[in-house]
Amino acid sequence: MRVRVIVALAAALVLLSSGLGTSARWYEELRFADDPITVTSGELAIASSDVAYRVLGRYPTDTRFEGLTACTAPQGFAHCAEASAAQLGDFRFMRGDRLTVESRFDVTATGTNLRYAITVTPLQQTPSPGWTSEDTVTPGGVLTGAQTVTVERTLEFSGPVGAGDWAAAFGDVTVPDITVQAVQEDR
Amino acid sequence: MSHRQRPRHRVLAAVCVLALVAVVVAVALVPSGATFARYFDEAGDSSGATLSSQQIAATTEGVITPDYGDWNWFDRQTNETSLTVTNSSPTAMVATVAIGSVALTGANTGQASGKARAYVVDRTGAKQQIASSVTTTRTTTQFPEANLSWTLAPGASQKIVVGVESNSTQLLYQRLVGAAGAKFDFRFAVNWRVDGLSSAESAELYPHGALGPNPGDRAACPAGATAAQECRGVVATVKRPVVTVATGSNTTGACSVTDNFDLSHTFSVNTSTLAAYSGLAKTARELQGSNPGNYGSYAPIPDVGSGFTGTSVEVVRQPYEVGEGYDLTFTFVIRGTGGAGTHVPGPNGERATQSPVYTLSMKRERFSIFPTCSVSLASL
Repeated sequence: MRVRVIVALAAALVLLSSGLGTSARWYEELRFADDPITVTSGELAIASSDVAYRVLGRYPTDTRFEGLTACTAPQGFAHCAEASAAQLGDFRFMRGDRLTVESRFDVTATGTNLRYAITVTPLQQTPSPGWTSEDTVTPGGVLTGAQTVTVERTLEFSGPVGAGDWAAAFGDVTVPDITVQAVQEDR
Repeated sequence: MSHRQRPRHRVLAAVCVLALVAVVVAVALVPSGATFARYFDEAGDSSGATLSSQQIAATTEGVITPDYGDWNWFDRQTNETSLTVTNSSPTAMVATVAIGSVALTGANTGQASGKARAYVVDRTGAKQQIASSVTTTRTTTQFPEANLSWTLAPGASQKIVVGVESNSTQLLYQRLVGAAGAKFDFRFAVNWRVDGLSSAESAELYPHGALGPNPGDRAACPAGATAAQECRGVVATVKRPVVTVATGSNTTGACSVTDNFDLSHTFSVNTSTLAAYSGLAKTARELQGSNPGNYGSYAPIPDVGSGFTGTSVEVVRQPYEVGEGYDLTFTFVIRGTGGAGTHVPGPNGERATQSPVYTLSMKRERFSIFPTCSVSLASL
């Protein structure tokens, strides 16, 4: 009887200590600081590299585009111009205009089977009743390896929708910086 | 037998309990997706900006002709007023003026009714008749866009002149005298669109029109004006002409011929029978010179006679050959100057006015010693 109890305890101890069938793995949870942290097993970091603005107008005659560097206007627009941040501050948007903010981010990704995705922090709210916004990440989906990703934020000024918001729609609006996250994919 | 089996069952139960505990502990130790550590980094650019916007801005102002009293100054022989359309936008705009109606109001409308016609000066500078005869209120139709449409560059303005004139010759100087004070009330609706875009495309961008949901003076809107049109009203008031011409003076006989001793003839026109000026001195000017329209260089009749006496225009034709006849015309205007201080200066500071244009015809047949002459109104 005593022997059997000892055997049973020993068996239980073996079960508890061996991890058979539990697939338990060592783990550690970290939230990286602003500066990328390199760990021995790999690295995932992202940093802004450059920003470019383009303004698009639908009016065939438009003095606002004088002095700006022209680019190819897509269908539906009569003018396309590249603008600096200072020029953008002086630009006065009219209904139908579009602003594209093209921001490039360099991603450093090293590590065995390291897969990740890029997400953009959306605008908290539409800048004003007259504006709409949309973010596009290229390339999208699950990524691997180091590369440059492009985030294009499209802001379109449609102006007031109804009679009531006519005055408010033409006020100044502040658009925040584009913030992106690189997050490792689980599987 | 049963006495020996009981401990065996207890051991088996204990083993099972321990095994269950081990399984539970093992499951708890398996890392779940939620707790698995992931690489993460975040970055922001510096693309934030303050964006300013502006409205398409275009305005239409109704300009009422300043009150110059009863004077019809040189460039105010007709009663004109105007709209001024201004494009304050950075893009070219097209203003199309639709004239909704002309109404006759105010004093002495009975004298003006049926005697005056309203017009607008179109893009080519031609007068487009709005109403052939204004009586009370006359609804008009919009002129073709090609005539009353103006493309305005960014920042540009355009004055659109409308006015009232007599509907036949001399009326302004004759029959409209009694119509002083009558007001011709014009109603306009101005439609703005972006140059290069169709009206439909413009309406899509500017559903309320270029100026917002309530552009212009809605009280001035003619019937049928849309909410996207800017409305304006202007009034042209008939003034009593300082220069008046007697009815029927287009074939006046106020001309006489005098034989001179040197076989020349003097043709005299009695100006007192031609045009009446109130409180003004008279002079005359030949209009067949090099610059007949330059009133600033007004001068006495230069080269054809003794000139102007104050009451007559004299043209001396000398000498002549009996065997040769002549058929000459001489056009002139009579100018009134020296208006009293109570007279309001004209728009360009003028203090003088003038008559319609007269034509003096002088004719002599070959071998005849009796020339003939006549005076008629050439035009207004």
